[in-house]
Amino acid sequence: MVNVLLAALPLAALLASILALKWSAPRAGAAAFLVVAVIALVFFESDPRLLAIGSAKGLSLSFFVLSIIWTSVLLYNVVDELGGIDVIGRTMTRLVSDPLAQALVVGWAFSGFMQGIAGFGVPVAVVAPLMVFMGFGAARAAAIVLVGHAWAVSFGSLGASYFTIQLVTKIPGEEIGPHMAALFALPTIVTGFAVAHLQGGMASLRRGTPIVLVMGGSMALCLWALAWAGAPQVASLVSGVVGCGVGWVVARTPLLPSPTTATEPEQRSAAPETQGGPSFHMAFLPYYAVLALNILSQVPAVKELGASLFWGLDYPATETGTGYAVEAEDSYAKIRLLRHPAPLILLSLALTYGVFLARRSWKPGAGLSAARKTYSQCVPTSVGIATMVMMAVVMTDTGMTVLLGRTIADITQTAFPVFSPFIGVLGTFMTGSNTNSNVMFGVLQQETAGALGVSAVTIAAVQSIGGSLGSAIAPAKVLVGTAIVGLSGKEGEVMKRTIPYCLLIVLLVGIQAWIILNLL
Amino acid sequence: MFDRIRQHASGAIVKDRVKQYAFWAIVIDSPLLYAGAVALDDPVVTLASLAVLAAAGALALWAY
Repeated sequence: MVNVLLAALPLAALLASILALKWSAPRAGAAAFLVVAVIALVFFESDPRLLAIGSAKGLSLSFFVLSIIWTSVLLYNVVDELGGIDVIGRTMTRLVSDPLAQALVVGWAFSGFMQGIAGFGVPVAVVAPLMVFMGFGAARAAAIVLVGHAWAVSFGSLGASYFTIQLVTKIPGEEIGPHMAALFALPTIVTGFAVAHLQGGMASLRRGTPIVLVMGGSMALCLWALAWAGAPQVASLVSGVVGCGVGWVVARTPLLPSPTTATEPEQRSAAPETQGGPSFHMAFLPYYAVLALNILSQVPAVKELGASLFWGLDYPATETGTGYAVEAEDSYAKIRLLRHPAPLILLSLALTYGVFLARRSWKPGAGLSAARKTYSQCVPTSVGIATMVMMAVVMTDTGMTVLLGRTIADITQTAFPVFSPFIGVLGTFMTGSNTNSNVMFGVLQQETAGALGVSAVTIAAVQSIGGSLGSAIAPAKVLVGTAIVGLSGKEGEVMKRTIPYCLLIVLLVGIQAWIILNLL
Repeated sequence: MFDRIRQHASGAIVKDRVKQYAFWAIVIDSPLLYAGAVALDDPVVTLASLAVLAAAGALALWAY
């Protein structure tokens, strides 16, 4: 029991410092890392070598994630320097003028599309500033996108998290894919309601119910159809586009009644129109390029070509004094040069530079200015992510995570399906990644399901769904959102908005799983 | 100029620099950690790299 409390202490320190003490994420992460290091050495019988290996693995994993954040923020800043973000924002504002429709089409469906093509915080980095441009308050914009994109994470990043849960549990794709997509219908629709409520409270929730049901129904159906058809890697991407299209159409029908300004909070007017700048398609060119390169990277011939082009460090097996063993890892947190988003984003940047230069519309100094801005935005984010991921990996490699997971299963027993998605949330909260959450807890959840005699497919699916929804509250993702909308150091303000929605939706997912496993 | 002097007085510039030192300490320490614990398997290098990491953590704890 003492060990369980000690294992929970780093997480408790992280949560308390962010939520109660209102520390910034880098400060809280540093504190939690120092706490876990002491606990690992003193109470979990780890030697300094094991601690160093765990920390180095954490830094490898951080490099995998941070390379995407740095390149995507750089891409955003370059487009901004060229006047493209103004153009995209103005176009989106014109596409749908109603603030509720903007929140749903941009913050819910479009962010899902961005999650489909890139993920790893890119939707938050790209869409949150667009919403600020449209006139949403910074904290509200970050919260809407964090909650709004959470439905698309498992099948996003071209299926990274989905493939991970499939790989670690060894459940065939044709079995877990459609099942997970079907279970995703409820959270997909409910995240839409959450976005409506975040935009304008109960008034928006009532007014937005028909459009949320139509958009959410279309997105959920599309997600399931693509998973069923064997194309899970593009399920979020296509569903996001479908959601945008359906939302754009429905917003022009009586299904979205006009707002009653007396009952909804007033949104400040959008940023003033600026003259000049590139056309919409030129402004969106880098993102078209990211999409095209991501699709190209899925072509079997390109996959084969890039199979040997990767970078990753090998780590030896470790064992604590208590006997907790971790297997050796080859090419840990492997970065595939032709598939990892960072090289693809850099390539799209190079293409953009070439095209703008050829059209003589490249602004001299734009690259340098964007790089400077990116550096100042990404340094705090990097410290926060590195310390938190190191903490998470040390916890995993010393057996603290498994101990916590098993304790949760022991306590919850037959109610385990209700709590199962919360374990997924925990993994994403700690690492900022649905993929990492699935790596950490996928097998644990499967084993627990086996021990309790319930369907491992449902529990594995629910683990990934919980991990997906956990993106709304993961400090690593919240940091991206706050950094890009100019709210650095105010992560607690955004998390306070997203946590109630996230926990409620995850609880609904758990209840849904319990009903499926016990009553159907 | 007066703003800059005021910032100096409040320690904002010092803290900003320390934030960057914490970041660069982690970056530079990464290969040292790997070399000490994995590539060289040398306890002295391992302990030194862990000390740098702890120092970076302490700097981040103070500055952020």
